[in-house]
Formats: sequence, structure tokens, C-alpha cells
Amino acid sequence: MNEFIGFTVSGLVSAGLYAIVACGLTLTYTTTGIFNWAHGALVAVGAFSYWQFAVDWGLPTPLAAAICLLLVGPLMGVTLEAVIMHRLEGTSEATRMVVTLALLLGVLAGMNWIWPPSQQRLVPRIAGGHVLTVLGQRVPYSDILVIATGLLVAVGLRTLLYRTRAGVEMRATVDDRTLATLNGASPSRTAMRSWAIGSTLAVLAGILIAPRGALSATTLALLIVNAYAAAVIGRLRSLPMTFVGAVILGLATGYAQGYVGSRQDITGYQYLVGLVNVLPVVVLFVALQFLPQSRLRGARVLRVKEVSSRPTWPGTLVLAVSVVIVAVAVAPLLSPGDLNSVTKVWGLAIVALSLVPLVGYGGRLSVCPLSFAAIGAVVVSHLGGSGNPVVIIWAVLIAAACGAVLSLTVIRLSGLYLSLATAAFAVMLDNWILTLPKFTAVIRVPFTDVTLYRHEITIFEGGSLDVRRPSFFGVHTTGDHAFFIYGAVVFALVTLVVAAVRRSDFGLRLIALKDSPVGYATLGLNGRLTSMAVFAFSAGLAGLGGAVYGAAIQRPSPNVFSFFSGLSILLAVVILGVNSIGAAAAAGVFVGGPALTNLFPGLAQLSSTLIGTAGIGLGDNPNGAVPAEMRPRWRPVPRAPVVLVGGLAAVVITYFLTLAGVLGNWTFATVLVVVLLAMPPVARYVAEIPAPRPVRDAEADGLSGPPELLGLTLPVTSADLDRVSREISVPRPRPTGGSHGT
Amino acid sequence: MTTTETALIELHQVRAGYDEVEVLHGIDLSIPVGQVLAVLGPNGAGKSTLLRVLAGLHPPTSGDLVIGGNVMTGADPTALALRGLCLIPEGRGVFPNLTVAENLWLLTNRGATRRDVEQAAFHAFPVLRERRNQLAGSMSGGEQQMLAMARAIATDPALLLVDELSMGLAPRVVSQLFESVARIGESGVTIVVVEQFVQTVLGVADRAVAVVGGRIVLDGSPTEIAPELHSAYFAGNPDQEDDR
Repeated sequence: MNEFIGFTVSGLVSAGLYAIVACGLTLTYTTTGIFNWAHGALVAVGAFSYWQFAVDWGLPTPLAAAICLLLVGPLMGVTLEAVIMHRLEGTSEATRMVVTLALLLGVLAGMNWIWPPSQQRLVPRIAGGHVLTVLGQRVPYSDILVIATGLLVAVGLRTLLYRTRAGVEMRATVDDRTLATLNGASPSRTAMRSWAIGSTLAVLAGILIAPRGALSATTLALLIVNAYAAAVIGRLRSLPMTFVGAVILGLATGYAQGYVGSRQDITGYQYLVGLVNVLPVVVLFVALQFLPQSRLRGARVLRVKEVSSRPTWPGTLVLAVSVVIVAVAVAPLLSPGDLNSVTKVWGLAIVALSLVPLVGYGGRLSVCPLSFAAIGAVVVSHLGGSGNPVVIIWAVLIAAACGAVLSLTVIRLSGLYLSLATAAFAVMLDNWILTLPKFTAVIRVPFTDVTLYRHEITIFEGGSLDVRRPSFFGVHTTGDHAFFIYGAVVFALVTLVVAAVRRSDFGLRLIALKDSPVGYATLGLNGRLTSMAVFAFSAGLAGLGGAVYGAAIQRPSPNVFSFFSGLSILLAVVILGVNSIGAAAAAGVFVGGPALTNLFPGLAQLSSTLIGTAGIGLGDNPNGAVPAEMRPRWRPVPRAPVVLVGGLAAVVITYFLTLAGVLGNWTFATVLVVVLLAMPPVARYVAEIPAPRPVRDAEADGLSGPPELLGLTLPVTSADLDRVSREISVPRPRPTGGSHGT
Repeated sequence: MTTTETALIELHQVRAGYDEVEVLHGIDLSIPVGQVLAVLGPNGAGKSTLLRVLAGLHPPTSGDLVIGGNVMTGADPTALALRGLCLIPEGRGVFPNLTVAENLWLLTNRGATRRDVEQAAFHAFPVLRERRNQLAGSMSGGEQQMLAMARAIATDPALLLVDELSMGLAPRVVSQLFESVARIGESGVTIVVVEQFVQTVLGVADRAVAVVGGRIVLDGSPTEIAPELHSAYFAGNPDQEDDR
């Protein structure tokens, strides 16, 4: 009985923490319409700030807590609103999510800079040593504080939102910002208030969670993903249900940890211990299945911001051939170390490319690209021991099958809920499936001992996979040089496949489904089947990317396929242009290339920080850098052949001089950058083309208001006259021989 | 109906538009205190833009908006709302995810108590009392428009702007709503009604103007205006014709 009470108390403590986090998240979502993926990162900032004041600088606990709660929390919220969230008004849900995901990555990278993870940080318990005896169980004051705070926060927020005018004003602003203004509310003040309260609650959770183990920003941010389950149980609206969700979640984890997680003697412990750790995300995944069916929605014609242009065959062929030529040309210039490091670029680029059909064309924001890549790598490792290239097909097929299965479970979800489900899947895979020990899969004829299939499955046994590089008809890719070119060829082939898909009937269907699900359904087309097909296709490509990526690293560990690593790829490809095939190549080079590490060896977080910062600015330009900035700038170059040939000649001559050892690599890189930067303006000057107007969004280029206000002038017909007469309830005058027109 | 010649609102050569497209081409309009003014015109004439300019939701590109003798061009809509301007926007001007009671609670911004607001609203539209704890979004279109109109009744505005009150509603509900507009007008509130349901609105208005192509082409009493509307809608502004 004592044991049960102990587990219950432990569960309630988790419930208190989950309640504070989930209520803060629900508050900002309910009052601003933005789901803040970075809420966990704000919790981490709260915990580390508290450590900084209370431990590192030695301030008294109450003072340190007061500074965090009254200064750090509100200030962080107000800054977030003023600098980032304020600009998200009128952007799509996907853009909002990507911006907050970028914020998550950026804040974590920034924290790792300020508080290097190499140092261990411990925070003493609040009121340490004092205990209260409840039903014979000694419960520390700090635990009681957490439980009570969780309850108070839930009750307090409910009261604020439903029993005060300020709270009703906050909810009204989400419903209709303009109407709220007409009622005397100030939306900017309301939003500022919401973010300040939400951020302070995150800091409060951070302070309470800080004494519960060594501080780690990533672990805290991920731990907080667990609390999302409670918020989803409350459907991101109801605070009482969120609290109930937090209690269910807390107790479930408490009992699971107590009865399973700490008992190594139970059967199957080694398989279940991981499940205990990911129980909250399993609950999240299940809770998402019980959300009400979303209604089909039509497109908001005037608010279309994302543009998906159709790739041309000549353009795609130029890209594909260029990729291979660049790989062949660059490989001899790289040092053995750099060449080894750069081999992973193409695998990551293929994973990035897998997001183009799914997120770009299909509008399905999945945040688990590396999960399917991990499946691809495991398959290749498991089946391709001798470097047999056929196993790559198996990797594609099995990853695609897993994608299809996942899509079946999330097929009715879209937008935020789909992203949450894929995040839950990624975390489940990271923290449970990929850490499973060896097991045997057996298929028997029911009620008999006849075994149809028996296979021993190994997933990351011993911490890393052994992925062999393939051989084709006697050509081995085991060396870094050969593998680098092989990766480029595979990537080039995949670009052609993706272009073919976008240009096909299926590609057209994807765009149609994204633009207007209701229009798609009324055409008699099956949206679910299309969704499943694109999920499977994307997962297959990611599996292929994983096979190439795994073979590049040769001994990949599970952490290279982690949720956060996948997030970097997703953000990079979205920032560069998720509708653009070229953006995927650039994303792979940026995330996997060693350029930044070589240029700034002391700045390990630079890549994540840059991605995070660029992603935060995405609200201003949701189309991404490649289609919106680079492509319009480069368009005049082919129209000025002198500049094109001259630029290429300069690069080729410098390249051969570098190859011959006359010039150094850095000189070549400098010339390359200068030529690339100079060609567009010079071409524009030579061809006398005016400076481009970057495509900010479709709205700016298309309709900016109701068509009738923008001057559609058509001849007036007799039928029009009759209709207008009818509508204004005035009898039409008898014709006098004249005619009306505009 | 009581009207005085003291102008509550004046527009002087107001021009406004969207991006590079000008929608209002120099509007001059003076609305005396207590007048019920109907703004008529075909789709795209600029009626709603005119109303948005009056409410401070859309800043004019040039010209002046004078309210009560003070130049208020570019004033913040929140500030105008707190000074007694009430706009019932096109469509249903309610918060669908708030209950009726919460919608009414937001009307206390000018100092009235919740009790006063509810009493006034429920007196005008008794059905809202039965729906008090229901989400506004789950009510019928007519009931939602009643709730929107309750703002005009409960906040005791100095100037009421109503945009397309009849949109998508049954004629019986439209009549009921216009009756309440007439009652508010009788209490001395200045009202500007934008409407395509010409006959109904002319029945409650003291004066009407027709806006065509961003210009006022007719201005007079309802009886003067009615016979001219058809030709005005299609002939447009004679000056405009000359411009071509």
C-alpha cells in the first residue's frame, strides 16, 4: 500500500509539472492562435536562469525565484511578442508552426552557447529536507509545492479566461481581431499579456523542475513535449480538461515508472523500460486519435501566401547534371577529412528532398523525416551486410510501408495535430524503438507449432549500426571519393523522380488537395488515398536518404536520427523553399556540409543558430529563399550569354589552376563566391533588365482585395440589368433606345 | 425623427483604396447629429470602404475625417470605439467562440455594468436571454445578427455604423432588425446604414446617398432618391463620364 501511495505522489508531482506547462501552452494557443513549439525551450530557459541566480551567483532562493518570475518570464514573453509573434498575423498555420519550431531550435542552440552542456548543473530542492507524512508516506515539501502550484495555475487561468473581462477580451481577440478592436480591446496589448503570462508559467515550470536532476536544455525541451499530451486531452481549449489530462498523464507515468521502470526482474523489462520513458508521447499519439473529425475546409483565396511552381524538365536536368559535375569536380579538391565529412551531404539532401512532395506539394507538415531515414539505415545495415545494392530497394519499400502505416493512423489529422502526431512518432522511435535490444520475429500458423517465418532483428545493437557502402557490377563505393560521387548521382536521380511526380497527375492532385480539400472532395477524388500515397512516397525517399546517409557515416548511432536533427533538416528546407527541388540540395549541403565547422571551428552551435534565426524570420517570406530571392535574381543570367559563359569560364579556369596546385582552395572558394554574387547584377546590366521584385507572397502579386474593387470592367448585359433591378428592388425602366455600358 | 443641422461627422475630399487601386475618389459628406443616413450603391462601389474609413479601420490616403468638430483622420479604431462610435460589420459581428453573455460582457468598455448591458440587450431581443450561455457561433444567423445589434443598443453609441445588416437573412428577420435600427434612430443616435436592400433601408432613413464608382452620385431624401437609383447605378457620376 505504501508503495502505491509513493507512486501516486510521484505521479501527482509529474501531473503538477505537466499541468503548469500544458496550461501555459493552452493559454497562449487559446489567446493568440499560435501553438508555441518552443514552450519547452522557455521552460529550459527558466530552469537555467534560476540555476544562474540561485546557484552560480548565490542569490537567496526566494530572490532568485522572484527575479525569474517577475523579470525573466514577463520580459521573455513581451520580447517574443514584439519581435516574432507579432509578425505572424495573417500567416498560414504551417508558417506559424515552422517559426516556433525554429525558435525552439534557436533558443536551444543559444542556451548551449551560454550554458555549455559539458558542465554539470545541479539545483538544490526548495525547502530541502522538510517532509510531510501523508498516509505513512514521507512527502517532501517541494513535491507538495509542485502539486499545489499545478492546481493553482489551472484554477487561476480558468478564472482569468472565463471570469475576468481581460480574459474574455483575450479570447475575443483570437475569434475576431478587428471586431475586438471595435469593442475597445487592444489586440497588441492582449497578445503581449498572453505571452507574458505564458512565458512566466514556462519559467515557473522551469524553477520547479530544476531541482529534479542535472540540467540539460535538450532533455528539458524534450521532456516538456510530454506535457503536450495533457494539452491535447484538453483539445488545446479547455483548461479543466487539460488539468485532468495532466493528472492522467502524471499518474500513468508514476505507476509505470514505479511498477515497471524500476523493476529489472519482470519479464520483458529490457523491452518495456523504453516504453515507460515514452509513455506520455504514446498518450499524446492516442489522444490525437480521439480528436473530433476535422471538417473539410475550402481555401481562403485572398490569403494564399505559399506558391508552388511546377519544375521544368530543362531546369531539373540542369540541376541534376550540375550536382553530379560539382561533386566530381569538388571531390579532388577536398582534404581526406573534409571528404569523409562531406559524404553525408547527399543522404541528408535526399531526406530534405523527401519533404518537398509531402510538405511542399501536399501541405502535410511532418516533423519526423529522420525517423524514416533511420528505418532505411536499419534495413540496409540488416540486409546489406556485403554491400549488396539491391537492399536499397528494400530500404525504400519498407520505409514507404512504414510511412503508409503511419499515415493510416494520422490520416484524419491535419495542420498542428498532424505535426504533433509525427513528433510523437519521432520521439517514440528515438527513445524506445531504436533503443530496443535484439529480438526475434516469429510468424506461426495459429494454434500449431508450425513456424512460417523466424528472423532475428537487430536495431542499433551495441549503440551503432554497421552500414556497408554498396558495390555495383564490380564498382565499389567504399572509398570516400567514390561514395561522394555515388551519393550525388543518387540525389540527381531522385530530383528527376520528384520533378516527374510534381509534373504528373498525382502532383496536380497534391496541389489541389492542399489548396482546397473541399474542392478536391467535390470532384469525387479521394483525399485520404492521396494523403496516404504522398506519405508513403515521402517516407520511401527518406528511407533511401537514410540508406545513403547511414552508408556515408558507416557506423551511425541512434542520435544522428534524433527528432531535433530531423527538425534542423525540416527547417532548413522550409527556409530555403519547401516547394523547390534546388532548396533540398542546398539544405543538405548546409546541414551536412563541413563549411561552417571549418570556417568557425569554435562555434559548434552556429548551424542550428543560423537555421533558428532564419526560420524565425520566415513569417515575412513563407515561400523560402530559393524561389523568392535567388531564382528571381538569377533569371536574367541565361538571357545574357556573355555573362554566363564569362562567369563559367572564370570558375573553370580557377578550378584547373587550383587542381594544378597553382591556387589554394580558399582562393578558389573566394573566386566562386565573387562570380556567383556578381553574375546576376552584371547580367541584368548587360541585358538591360530592371531589378527584380522578389516574390514576397502571392497576395502581393495577385489579388490584394475583392475583385470588384480592383477594377474588373466588363460590358453590362441585359441579364445584369435584370439581376441588379431585382436585387435593389427597383423596377427596371423601359428601354428608350439607348444602351448602358462601362 | 429629430435632426439638427450640427454636423457630427464630416468627410472632406476623402480618398482611400487598396494598394494602388483607389476606391473612394474624393468623398465630401456631412452627417448632422441624429440623422439616419442610408448609403446605397452596387457591389464594389466603395460603400463598405467608406464605412471602414468612418470607423478608423481603413486610413484615407488623403482628405479629412472630422468628428464632432475635431479632425480624427487616422485615429485608432479602439479610441473611436471608446468615444462612442459603434460599427456593426458586414456578416455577423459576433465572437463565435464566446457565449452570448461573454459577447455582451465585452460591451462594458464604455463604463456600463454587465447587468445594464444584459438588461438592455435582452429587452430588445428576448431570445438572447434564452441563449445566454450558448456559444454565439452555434446560434442561427438571425440570432447572431441580433446579438451584433445588441451592441448598438447596449453601448449607447453617439454614432452607429451598420454594414449590410440584411446579408443572408430571411425577410422577416431583416424587418425585425430594421425596426430596432429605427428605434435607435428615434432615440437621437446618428446612424449610417450601408445596405443593398434598398426599399427596407429607405423606410427607416432620413436621407440617402448613392455611391457609384467611389463617388457620391445622388444625395437627397429617400423619396427623391428612389426613382433615380437605377439610372444612377449604371450611368455613374456624370463628372466621371466627362472624365473619360
